[in-house]
Amino acid sequence: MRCDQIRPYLPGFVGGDLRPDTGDVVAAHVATCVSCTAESASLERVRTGLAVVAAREVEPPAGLLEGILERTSEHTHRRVLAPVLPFAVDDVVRLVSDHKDTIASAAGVAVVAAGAAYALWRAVRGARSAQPATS
Amino acid sequence: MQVPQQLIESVRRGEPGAFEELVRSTHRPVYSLVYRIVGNAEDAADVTQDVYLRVWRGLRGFRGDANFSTWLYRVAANAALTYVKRRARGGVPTEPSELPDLPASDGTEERADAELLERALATLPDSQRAVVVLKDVYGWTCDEIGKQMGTTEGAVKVRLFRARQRLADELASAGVVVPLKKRKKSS
Repeated sequence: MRCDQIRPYLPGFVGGDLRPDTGDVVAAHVATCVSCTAESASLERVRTGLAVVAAREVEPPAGLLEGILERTSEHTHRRVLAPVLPFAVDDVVRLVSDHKDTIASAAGVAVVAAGAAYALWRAVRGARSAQPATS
Repeated sequence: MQVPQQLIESVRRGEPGAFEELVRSTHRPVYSLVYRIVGNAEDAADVTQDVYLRVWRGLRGFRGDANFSTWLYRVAANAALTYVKRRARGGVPTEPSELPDLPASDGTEERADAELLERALATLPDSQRAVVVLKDVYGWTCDEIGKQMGTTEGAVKVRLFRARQRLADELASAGVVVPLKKRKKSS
């Protein structure tokens, strides 16, 4: 195979993320190609560098710890105030917040369905009242 | 990140000060994970706060047979991915990524690469960054990432490969490795 056919697979090859049969084809090519070997080495260096990243910590902004503690203590207190509820108020708030688009769509569909049902009911009722009474 | 089982039990029993101790001992690695997924310090701080709310609520249901660190990272990744998804859906542009404050390099080649890569991660598109961070930094499988992101393993691999390619380009532009795209075909 040619390099331009192999090259898209190299980022997967270095991580062992290809299917075995594909990996074998790429490995056979790389073993005989100086250019693709160099490219694999570059990608491998990315992987080893990222593995080192895992051991490093990003310095958090000042006040993060205090912010977490303050926010969690508020919620701890809130749950203590509402012990009789069978669910946590915060969970419901978060659920609504996470799915507000879906909830809005469902509400829209419900309103349209209710309107249609009402219109249908009116039409049926009007048709019945228009029928002559039979003795 | 090692969290003593005794501390987790203390938190579950609601002992005073236990949750604070848990936050103190874990918030740095959790923030680091969240930052690497959302790519922005301010957003990462907000999401990290949300993570600990989720932890506090979820800890009662946490089963002791699972590894707490794994569970905590999963909660953090889930919160960060949810945030990134919501941000993308809302069309809110990502704030320009400021450079993270990192420990000084000790001069070794790998650490110098790691420093460059940490900065390069912040320039990746959200979906690529999340995938490469979870796979190559935190060692998740593509299948796990797909489940967590609500996408297929194949889609995860496509993003992963593109991300690795872009990161290699970043190293190349810094003169660390040979460029990937400008060379001619060799055969």
